[in-house]
Amino acid sequence: VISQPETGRTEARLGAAARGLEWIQPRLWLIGWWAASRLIVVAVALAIRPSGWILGSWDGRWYRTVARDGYLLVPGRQSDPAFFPFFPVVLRAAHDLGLGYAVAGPLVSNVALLVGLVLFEALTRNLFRPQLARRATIYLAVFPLGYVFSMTYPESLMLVLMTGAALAAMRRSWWLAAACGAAAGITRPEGVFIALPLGAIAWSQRRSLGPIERGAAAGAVLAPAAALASYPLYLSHVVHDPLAWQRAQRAWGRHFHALGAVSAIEHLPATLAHNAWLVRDVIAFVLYLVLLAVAWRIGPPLPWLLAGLAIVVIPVFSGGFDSIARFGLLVPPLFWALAWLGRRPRVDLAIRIASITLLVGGTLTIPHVYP
Amino acid sequence: VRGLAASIVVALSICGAALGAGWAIPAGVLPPPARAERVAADAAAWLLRYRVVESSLRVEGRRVSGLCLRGWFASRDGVLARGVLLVLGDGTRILNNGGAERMTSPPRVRPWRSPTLLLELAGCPGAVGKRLAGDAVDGTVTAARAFAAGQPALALHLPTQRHHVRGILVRDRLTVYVSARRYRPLAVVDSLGDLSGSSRIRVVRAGASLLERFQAQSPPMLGTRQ
Repeated sequence: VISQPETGRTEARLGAAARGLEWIQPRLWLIGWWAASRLIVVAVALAIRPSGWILGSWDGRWYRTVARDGYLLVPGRQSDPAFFPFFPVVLRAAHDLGLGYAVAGPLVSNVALLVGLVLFEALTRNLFRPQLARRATIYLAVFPLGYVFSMTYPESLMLVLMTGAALAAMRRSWWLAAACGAAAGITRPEGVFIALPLGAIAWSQRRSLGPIERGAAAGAVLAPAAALASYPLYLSHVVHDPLAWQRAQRAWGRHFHALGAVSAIEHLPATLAHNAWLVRDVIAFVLYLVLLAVAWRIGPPLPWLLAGLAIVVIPVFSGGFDSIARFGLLVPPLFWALAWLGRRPRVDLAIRIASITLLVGGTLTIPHVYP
Repeated sequence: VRGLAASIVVALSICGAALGAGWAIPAGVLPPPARAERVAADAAAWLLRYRVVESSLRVEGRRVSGLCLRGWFASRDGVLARGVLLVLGDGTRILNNGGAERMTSPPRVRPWRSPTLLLELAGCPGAVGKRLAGDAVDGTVTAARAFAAGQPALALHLPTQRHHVRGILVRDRLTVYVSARRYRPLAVVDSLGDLSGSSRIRVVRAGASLLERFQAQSPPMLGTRQ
């Protein structure tokens, strides 16, 4: 015999489970692509070095150092203030839950990617037709540089925060948009560019928002920049140098200046002779510009294109093309453009096969070159 | 007007919250750097920023002065490479650029047994500064209160490293003493196998006259690129 309150609880649980299934069922394809792409990356990574965990290498080491030991500026040397704090904060939280740092990084990244893909698909569906949203999401999951989404890098988390902020804004949850935007601002410097789409969304809703919501929308637009500004304040507190980020960047050969792009192009032949892997980033840079031009033709809101252009082009002003291929992972218009190009089944198939092949190839390069 | 004021207050509140949370969340979750690492990083910054270190060494039963410069020097094949040049008061010169040490001594001077030990005792930025910086990043340095060069100091104990001394692999034991307030390097105590020594060191700005002195003392080794 089941008593009355217990019956109510059971019904509530069944209801929640049914709602969960209802939510999952139309997204099974997405979960499948996420699982397949991650399986490829993890399997290849383990095949390269069965005894070692290469998904935590390169910048992953620095993020772990920040999470474990905090920040320390060593002038003239590569040091950790070059890495923004929100991802290490998440790693530290995962560690406090009992996960080792080596496992926490890739685990957080992989789980965040699933959430990011769901949000990206929903965002794209709000802007384009569902078929394009589906293709764009698949292309993002299997993108050649997408192995970074499984490494101890903040790109997956950034994807969640950037798409989450935009989606929340579209659904008029401006407080949530502000929280996501602020978190993006202290996850990676590119986070500040989410303010452009947020500004456009706020402008489009201006007549239908009450005074409080309007203030929240304006706050959400400004939140990424405010959060970004908090990082020098934090560094000033902890390493007694508000410019520690810039100083640490210099040790990696990054120094922003007005003629940085000219210098990057001028020194390209010499840099390529020294580091042939840079070809990957140069090709990606050109390809991204072409895809942004294609995206312009299909007509996503202009602020998305401007934000994408900023993410791709501004790093060149630091005097080099390093890691631009990776930065493209945070530019949604690239995947919208690819999805538009893949509207014909043959092209779609070609993009999928090429992407998966290059994803395997990209994962194989992890021990040799930083992403 | 009231609606506009409400909007502005809300927007500013969100900005303030983002600014505050961006500072407070890392400050609350991430640990501050360990004191020893901070001290080692600051001491490394002194050595790497100033580029020249004057020293007074006691090693192998001898007392000798030293002047060490970090800069660009011509290697054996004539190519300029970053490194350190130590010029001792007895005329001995030790150049380390590109990993290998080259020691040249005047004819009547008894050759020193370990150029590595001399470079470390002289506080050469390329040897001690880089090592301090690396150990600070790795979190492997420890600090203790001490007294050195006639003042309160902190002793930075660096993890041991292996070096070849006349074909034999031996471990060193390097301690750098820094001033207690500004972490300026003051002294070095070092041992390498059965050799040991101590020194007082002082970082000096690399002015034109000092560089000319170096140029005069070591024309074949010194390059011009800074």
